[in-house]
Amino acid sequence: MMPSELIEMFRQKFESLAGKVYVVTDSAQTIEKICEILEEVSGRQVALGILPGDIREPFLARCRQDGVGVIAPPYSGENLTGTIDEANCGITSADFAIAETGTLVETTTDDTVRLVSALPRVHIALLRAEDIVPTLESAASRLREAFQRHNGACAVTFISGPSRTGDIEMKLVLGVHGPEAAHAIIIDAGNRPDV
Amino acid sequence: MSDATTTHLSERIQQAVADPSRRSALYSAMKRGRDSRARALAAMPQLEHFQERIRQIKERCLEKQEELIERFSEMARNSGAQVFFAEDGAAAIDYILRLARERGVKTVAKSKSLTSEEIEVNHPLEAAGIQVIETDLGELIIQKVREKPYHLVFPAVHKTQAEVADIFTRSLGGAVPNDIRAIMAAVRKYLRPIFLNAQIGMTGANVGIAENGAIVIETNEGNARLVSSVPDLHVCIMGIEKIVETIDDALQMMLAHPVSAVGQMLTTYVTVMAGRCALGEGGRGPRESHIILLDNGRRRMRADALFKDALNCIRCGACMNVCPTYGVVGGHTFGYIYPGPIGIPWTAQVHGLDKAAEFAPLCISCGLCQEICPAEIDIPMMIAAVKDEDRKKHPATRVNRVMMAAERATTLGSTTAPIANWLLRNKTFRALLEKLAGIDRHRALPEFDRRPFEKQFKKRKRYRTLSQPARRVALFLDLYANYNRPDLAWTAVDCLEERYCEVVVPRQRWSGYPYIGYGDLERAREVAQFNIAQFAPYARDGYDIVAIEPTAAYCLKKPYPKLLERQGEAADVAACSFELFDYLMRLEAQGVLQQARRRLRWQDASSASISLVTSGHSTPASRPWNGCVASAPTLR
Repeated sequence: MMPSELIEMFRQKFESLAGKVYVVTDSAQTIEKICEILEEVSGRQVALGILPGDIREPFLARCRQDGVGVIAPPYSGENLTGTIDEANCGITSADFAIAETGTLVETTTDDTVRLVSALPRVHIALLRAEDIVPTLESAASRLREAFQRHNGACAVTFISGPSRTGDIEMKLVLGVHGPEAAHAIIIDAGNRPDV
Repeated sequence: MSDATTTHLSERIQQAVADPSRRSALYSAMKRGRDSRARALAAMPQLEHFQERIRQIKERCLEKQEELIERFSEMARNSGAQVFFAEDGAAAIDYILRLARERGVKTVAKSKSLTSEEIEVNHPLEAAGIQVIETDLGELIIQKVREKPYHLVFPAVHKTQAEVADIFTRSLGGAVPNDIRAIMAAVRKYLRPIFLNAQIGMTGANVGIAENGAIVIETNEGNARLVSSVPDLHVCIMGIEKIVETIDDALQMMLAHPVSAVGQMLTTYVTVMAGRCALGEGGRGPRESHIILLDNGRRRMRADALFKDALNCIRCGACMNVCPTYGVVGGHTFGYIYPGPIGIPWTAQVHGLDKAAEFAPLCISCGLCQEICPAEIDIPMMIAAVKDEDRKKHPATRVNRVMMAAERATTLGSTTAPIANWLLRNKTFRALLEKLAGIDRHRALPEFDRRPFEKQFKKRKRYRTLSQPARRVALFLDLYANYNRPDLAWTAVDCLEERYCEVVVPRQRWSGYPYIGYGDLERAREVAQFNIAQFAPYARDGYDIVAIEPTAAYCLKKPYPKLLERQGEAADVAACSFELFDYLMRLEAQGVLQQARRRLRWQDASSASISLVTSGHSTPASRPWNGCVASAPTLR
C-alpha cells in the first residue's frame, strides 16, 4: 500500500473516532501546527513526552517566546504526576500507527510519558508517515521488537481517539478521565516538494 | 429447582418487569450492542471467519494452559513483575490485604475488573479500613449505590441520567445537575485526586501474553491507564484462562473484545504492560507490579468435558445482548455476579450450583447465545447440565415434569383424539389443567389428529417411484407434525418429492429437546440414543436427514453428538442433518428442481411451529446456508 493511502486510511479511521489528523511535511510546519492547536484550546501549560530533537528544541524556544509554560523530560521530583496534571495539553511522539484501526501506538519505559497522553485534556501525537502500518496483524512484529528492545519493564499503549464513555444512557461523551481531544500530526517528509 | 426457588424467582421477575424504564434502557443497550456488532462484522472484510479464529486461539491456548501459565509467570518475573498463584478468592484477598497492610495503604483505585468482582475483593479491603474506589464510570455509579452490575459491559445501564445525577449529588458531596457534561465534570473532579494519590492501582487483565509475560488492559475511558501508571503499587487480578500464547493471539483478542461487545474495532485505550516502569527519576518509592493468577475453580472446569467450554469466554457480553429473558428481567434477576447466559455456567462453577440454580430456569434454551458467541461456546448445553445437576438435588417442578412428558401426552392425545380435543376446548378442564399441571389456561394448545403421520405414511397407497432420485431423504418428524398436524408432514413430503427426492420415514421418537431445556440429560441421552440408532444407517447409506422442526434439526446437529460423545454415529448423523426450509433452499440453489411449486404456505408452517429453538435466519443448525435463506425472502 502507498504511504499516501495509509495516511488516508489512518485519517479516516482516527477521525471517525473523534480524533483529528493533520499532515505536515517538516518540523517547522509541525511546530506551527502544534501552536495553532494550542491557540485553539488556549493551552498555556504543556507537558512533553520524548520528542525528536529537531522539533523539541525549536518548539521549546517558541514556547518561551509565546509565554507557554512547558514541562519536559527528564521528569523528576516528588510531585511530578501533579505537575503533569496541571498541563492542559500533552504532546508525545507515537512509535507507530495502525491505519485500519486508526490507532496511535506509544512505547515507553517511563510511566510519566504515559501520563503525558493520559492526564491533560488535550493530547497531540506526532507521527512519521513511514511509521504507519496497514493492519493490526502487521503491528505484531513492531510490538515484538519493542518488547525485545527494552527487555524488561516496558509499556505499550494503543490510542484510538480521545477518552470516551457510554455508561450513562449509552450517550457518547468524550474526555471522562483522559483527553477530550486527540490530535495526530503526521509528518510526511516524503511529500516535501524539495525531496 | 425446588418449588420454593421458583416462587422466589417469580417474585424477583415480578419486581424486575414492574419497572418499564429499566426495561427500555436495557432493551436499547442490547439492541445497540447487537446492531453495532452486526454492522461492524458486515463492514469489515478482515473480520470474516472471526468466530472460528477466536475459537481456535482459545482452544489451542486452553489445551496448553499449564505450559502457558509457566511461561507467562517466568517471562513476567523476568521483566520485573511479581507473580502470585491464587487457588481461590480467599488466597487472592489474603495476598492483597497483606500487601496493603505492609505498605500502609489507605486508598485503592480500581479499574473495571470482573475477576475482582468474582472474588468480591472490595468488601474485605473496606472492612480492613481501606478505601476502594471504582474508577470506571459505570462501576462507580453502582458502587455508590451498592449494587451489582446489571450488564457485563454496561454495568449501570439501568440507571437514568437523572438517577445518576442524584446518586452523585448524594455521594460526591455537592450538587450535581442533571446534565451529562456536568456529571462528567463532577466525576473527573472527584476522581483526579484519587488517581494521583491512591497507593494501590488495581486492575484486571483482558489478556495475558505468555510470549513476553505482558498483560493487556483495555478501557475506553482511559481510567486503567491512570490506575496502572500513577500508584507505585500495581495489582492485577487475572483468571488463568486469559493467558494466550503469542503477541499475535493477543492482538486477535484485542480485536474480538470490542467488536463483539459494541462493534468497535479496538478499545480506545489498550495498555500492554510488561513488568513495572519507572515514574520519572526519583519518584516516591519503589515501583512494583503484582500479578495474581486466579484459579478459583478454573482448573476443575478445564478437567470437565462439558464445562471446559466456559473457559473460552472472552467476557464480551454479546450473549446477554441476544438473550430474550435476560432482556426482560436484567442482570440483577438473571445473574449472581456474572450475569446473562454465560453467567449460568460460570456462577455454577465459581459461586456454586445453588447460586446458579436461582436463575438458570430463566434460560428458555433458544440457542441464540451460542450463535452470537465470538468463541462459539455451547452455552445452552452447559445450562442444561446446570439444570440437570439441580434437578438431581431438588425434584423438577410440576410444570417442568409436565413439559418433559410431552411425548407421552401427545401420543395419548392422538389415540384419544376426539375426547382429548373436546377436553382442550373445555374451560373447566383447562382450569383443572392449570391447577394440576401448571399450564396456563390461556395458552393455546394444539389439537390432536387421530391418525399420526407415521401410520398414514406406512399405509400410503400412492408411491412416487423415482428411478433416479436427485437426493434421498430420511424425514425426522418430531411430535407436532406427527400427531397434531400430519398435513404439514405431507406437504413436506410433497415438496421434497416434487424436487425429485426419495422420502423415507424411519422409526423414531420425538427430539426430546424439552429434556435438555428443563434439564434431564439422562432421558435426553436415551432419546438421542434411540434416534441416532435409527437414523445412523440412513446417514451411512447417503441419505440426507431432514427435520421439519428447527428444534429437531438443532438436536440432531448439536446436542445429540454432545450427549453421545463417544459415538461417531451421532457425528455422522449431524453432518447430514438439515432443517426442512434450509434443505429446500439448498436444493433450489443447487438447481436440483426444475418445476418448483411452493405448496407449503409459509404462514402455515410458522404459526404452527411450536419449536423451542428460535428460527432466525441463522439458527445454529442452518448456518451453512445463510446466504441461500437471505436470497429467498419470500420463504422467510
